Amino acid sequence: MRYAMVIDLRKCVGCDACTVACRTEWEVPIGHSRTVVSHSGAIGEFPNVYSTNFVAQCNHCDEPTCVPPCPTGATFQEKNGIVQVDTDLCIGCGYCVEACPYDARYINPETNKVDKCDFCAERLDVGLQPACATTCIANAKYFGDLEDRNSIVYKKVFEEGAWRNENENAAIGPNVYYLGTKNQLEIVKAKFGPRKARLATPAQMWKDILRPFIFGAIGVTFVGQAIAFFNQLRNGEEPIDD
Amino acid sequence: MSISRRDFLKRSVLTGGALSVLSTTQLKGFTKHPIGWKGNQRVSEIASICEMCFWRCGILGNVDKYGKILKIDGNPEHPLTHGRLCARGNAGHKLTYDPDRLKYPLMRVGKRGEGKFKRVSWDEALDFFAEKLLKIKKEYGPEAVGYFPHGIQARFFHQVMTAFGTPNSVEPAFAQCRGPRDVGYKLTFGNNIGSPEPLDFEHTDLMVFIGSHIGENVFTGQVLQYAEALERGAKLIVVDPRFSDAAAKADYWLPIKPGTDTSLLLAWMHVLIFEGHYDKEYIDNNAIGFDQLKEHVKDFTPKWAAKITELPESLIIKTARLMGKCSPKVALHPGRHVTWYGDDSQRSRAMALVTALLGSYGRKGGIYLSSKIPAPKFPSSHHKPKVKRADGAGTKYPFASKGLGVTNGLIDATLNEDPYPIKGWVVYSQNVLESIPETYKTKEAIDKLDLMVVVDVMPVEQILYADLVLPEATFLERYDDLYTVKNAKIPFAAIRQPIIDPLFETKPGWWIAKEMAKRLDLKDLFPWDTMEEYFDHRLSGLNTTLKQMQAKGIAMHSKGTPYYDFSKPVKFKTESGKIELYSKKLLREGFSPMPEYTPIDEVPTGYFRLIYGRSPVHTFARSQNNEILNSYQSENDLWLNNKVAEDLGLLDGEYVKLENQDGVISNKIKVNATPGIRADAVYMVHGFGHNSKRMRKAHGKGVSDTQLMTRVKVDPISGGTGMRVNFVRIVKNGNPIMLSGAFSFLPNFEGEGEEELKYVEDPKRVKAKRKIKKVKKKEVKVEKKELKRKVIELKEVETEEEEDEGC
Amino acid sequence: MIWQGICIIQLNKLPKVIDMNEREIIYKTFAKLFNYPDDELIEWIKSGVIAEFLELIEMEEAKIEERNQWNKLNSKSDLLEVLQVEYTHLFISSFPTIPAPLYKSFYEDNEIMGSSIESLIDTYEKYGFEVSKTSNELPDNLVLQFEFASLLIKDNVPLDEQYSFISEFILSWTEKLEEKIIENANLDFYKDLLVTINKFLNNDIATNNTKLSRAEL
Repeated sequence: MRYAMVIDLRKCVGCDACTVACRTEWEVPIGHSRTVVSHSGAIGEFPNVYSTNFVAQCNHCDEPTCVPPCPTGATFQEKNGIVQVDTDLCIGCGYCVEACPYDARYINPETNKVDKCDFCAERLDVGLQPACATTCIANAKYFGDLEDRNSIVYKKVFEEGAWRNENENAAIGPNVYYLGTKNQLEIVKAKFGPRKARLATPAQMWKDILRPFIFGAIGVTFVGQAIAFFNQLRNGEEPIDD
Repeated sequence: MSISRRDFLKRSVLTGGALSVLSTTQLKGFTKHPIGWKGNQRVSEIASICEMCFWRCGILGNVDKYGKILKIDGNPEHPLTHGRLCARGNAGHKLTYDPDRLKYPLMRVGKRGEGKFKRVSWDEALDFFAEKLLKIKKEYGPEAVGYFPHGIQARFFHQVMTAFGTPNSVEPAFAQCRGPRDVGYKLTFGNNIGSPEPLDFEHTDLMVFIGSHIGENVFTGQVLQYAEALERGAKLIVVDPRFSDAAAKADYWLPIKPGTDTSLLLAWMHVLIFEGHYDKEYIDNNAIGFDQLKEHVKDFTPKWAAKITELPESLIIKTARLMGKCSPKVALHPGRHVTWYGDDSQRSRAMALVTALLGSYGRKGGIYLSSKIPAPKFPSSHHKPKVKRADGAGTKYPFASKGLGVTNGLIDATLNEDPYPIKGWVVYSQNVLESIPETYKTKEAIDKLDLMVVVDVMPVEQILYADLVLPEATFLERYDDLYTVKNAKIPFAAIRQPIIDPLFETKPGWWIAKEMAKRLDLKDLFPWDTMEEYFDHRLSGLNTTLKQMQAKGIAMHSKGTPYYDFSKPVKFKTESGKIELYSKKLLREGFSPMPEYTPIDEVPTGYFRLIYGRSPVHTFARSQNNEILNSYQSENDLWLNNKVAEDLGLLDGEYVKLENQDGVISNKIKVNATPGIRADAVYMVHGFGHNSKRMRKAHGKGVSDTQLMTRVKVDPISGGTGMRVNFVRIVKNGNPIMLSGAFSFLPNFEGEGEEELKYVEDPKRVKAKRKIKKVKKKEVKVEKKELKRKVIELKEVETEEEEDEGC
Repeated sequence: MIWQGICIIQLNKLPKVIDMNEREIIYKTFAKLFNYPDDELIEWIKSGVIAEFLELIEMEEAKIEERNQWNKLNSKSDLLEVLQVEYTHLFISSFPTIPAPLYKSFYEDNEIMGSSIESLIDTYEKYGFEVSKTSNELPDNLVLQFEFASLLIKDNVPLDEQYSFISEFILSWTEKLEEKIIENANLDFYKDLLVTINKFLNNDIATNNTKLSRAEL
């Protein structure tokens, strides 16, 4: 089981139906988004121009750079590939936000926790598709199990050659794939490619983590967080030297 | 605060007197439940239809235990949208929960325009309404009331106004939108196009858009079919001065000089005919006037059109050939908002003729046929008004729809009291100040009224001028009339039903209309008590009831194939029973029987032609205050050619103002310097630039194109107001800025070069005189039968158009 | 006029601590005052009952003279219309936007019926109440909240619960409402009302806190 999404930019009309559906499904506060539609605008010289729309969201990468920096283990990856945030553990430190080369995460100002696309895991549980794919008025978003040879995403990725938005900044196996014309993918590479992950230094992280100890606020929640954190250390997910 | 507790207590003691008076206060806001009550547990999903725009897609409203609409989903049962829903539909509940919405009936207290109102009860409001209306009827006759409705939900009001005795009902859906198209196609094929446009994208090989910017202009069902067609490999030709989203997806983008489309269409016809690409069999069997048309277009060569349209000749030829190659599976989009240059009926005719030459009308992959839906109406004892219309539909504008009317015609009539005085306006769900150009005229006309009533959901600017404002429940809180969709391959009926009860004292339109009827002595107009009763009657033809339909919201009515069966002779609903390439009807009214290109006014030096279009996240000027939609697009921007911007010294993203040819200066607008538009035009999305100072979200954001439209060119055939005849120049720091003398703009179309026409027949040798003579003889015969036919036709027109939806 | 007579009699009585019955009336009156103006309200204004009421609950020097100006300015019907126009402008509908909606959710969620109404409705339900089907108002309308406060008092709900309702659900937004009214009012009436009521609410709670802490001792 490996969930993946394929977005056909040749069909996408850039109408924002998906992003609004996502917003109302998950009550994403205005000013923030789990998924964003961008328009490149016309490129070239009149009348020889081309353009593309682009849809961005969490890529649920094969090697997510957002998981290791999480000091509490709140961000983790499920076996089906979905990168999840356990909001009970999240302390809103924002390391993962910086670490995501696709800027797919934000801190929700109402909860002070990190939030992002989770492929609508709750909808998947009850047999629905992600809200964005369900509502897409151009049927440009395909979702399914990449390991299932009969799935539409398998067909789009392995038979039609859907493309991964990777570059020299980040090649971490994004599981949102794109189909597009040559021109469209060129624009995506030039304008919407991933940035370099910004990782917090270990010293900085320790300071931030230890701060609650220093202020003596050892609540039950924090103990949980600490345990999760030390578990993570023990599992050797990310070596952090003091 | 330095008040001691003692002070507080001391003062509190003094409360006896006033308090004993006040203790009698009776409040009734709450119901008390017995101990053990667990509270409300309502969680439900209700099927209905959207009204964030006029396409009315299927929706499912999710209601939580607090009785609040949590989310709107698409209704998977809907045969056109299959559970998909656009951004506006997804944000629909924000309209219901907009703090600014109208909540109680309001009566004007101050002067018109001052904005002073008091809340009144429905009884007070409706009594006032009836009293005023009956007074106007007594003094001036019932025709002195003008009615400005919008959409299917207006039908109940329509019944009231008609029974009251006024013929003057006008919707911008005609004269500001699709009127010329309906006229052009009806003259050619005997049918107007209707809604949604019956384009067979499902089977087409080629889509042709002239100004249509599907994707930015969103109807979910149409976008879905369009996107699937693209994926299937269907080709796309887009004619648009601007690089729209559709143009970006097109195989051929023709950035035409605005206003010259008819010449392109004529040149296409030239190529189709003289290179022999047209569908000869289809034309021979089903059309009249081919020889005249052939003669007519013989000089309209691609070379001629290339000069006018500023497009490469080769591009015109190539696209025409592609159409020929794909014939008959060509879906040429007839357009929707087509009131552009005042010659719009003829342009629409030209589009219809191209469609005819390609053999695409009534054929698979082209334009499919609409069907009938058996949804009986309650019989009415009230007669149609006999007084002639004041707006010129059928007289001054001979081909204008009498169902939809000519808004600007009625405004002129009100203003000039010609042909008779109009003293009352009933405005329902229409924004007369935003959707009809020449706003100053509208305001002057309002000044002449004894009564202006607005029934609406939101406080749009026109309420300032209203004597009475009646708050309607939003589309999520009410029943509306049955929505029948005949332009679907499997026609269907859909219901709108309340997802929650109306908030505040808002009422559904049907209730308001029914109450109005009661007070206007038209009691028997609505011989039903409940909406169940009403729906059950209307649904009887579909063998269903409201109860049965409520879960899915949709009832299908399958009936035959939506294409012509050419194995038998086909009768079109035109005078001749054939497709009329040559229209004697037009000739009789003094118009050219075949479309001609009339040169448009050139853009004055220093100015740009103002063109406008739609955004996928907004509907006209209606949705800008929606919290979610506003966060996606709070203002429009000004598309300006990047080289022009450079020459003017303007940077992408900087704010400028616009001044039109009559000195009207706009709000500020952000420059979008782009190579995706011609140098002689600027483009903006319609519906922004709300004028009022306190508008929480929409005020002062972007520019109102309507305010810059101080001129219109009226299409003499349909009465439609051509709106792309306005020019603007750019004002920066208070001064207009001009292009430098050195500026030149010579587009270089990559990959376009010489292209020779391959004539199968030499146009110079075309002789059609013989046939024309024949036709003339026949004409006499036809005219004898004219009278009878006209009567029959008129009847047909009326029943048909009553069913028409707004735009 | 008769009311004033009663009042004088009361004035001569010995000071006593404000009782629950009086608090119930006070909150009921707040609700009434923020209802759409009707003849009864005008009657009360004209007879000075409202001015007196406000003076009674007010902490600073009396503005009774000033408030009695309302009487002189307008005839009864004029006054009614003037107040109705003001009420409509501030709280119901005005073009293009109402300046000071009476809904808590507007100030806390930036919309009406936002997520903050959930805990409010839960609270109503907890005490066995539901907004009447006949009420045309949203559950978080100020009028309903005042009425609910009076019902809590009437039902002898423990004091701390009464006060937590008032501070959590009413005072949490009425100061923002006050700002909006001050900014947009054309008349002093509602401005004066809410300023005075807000002061009372704060004091009522302060009093209670003192009481409660005493009880703990």
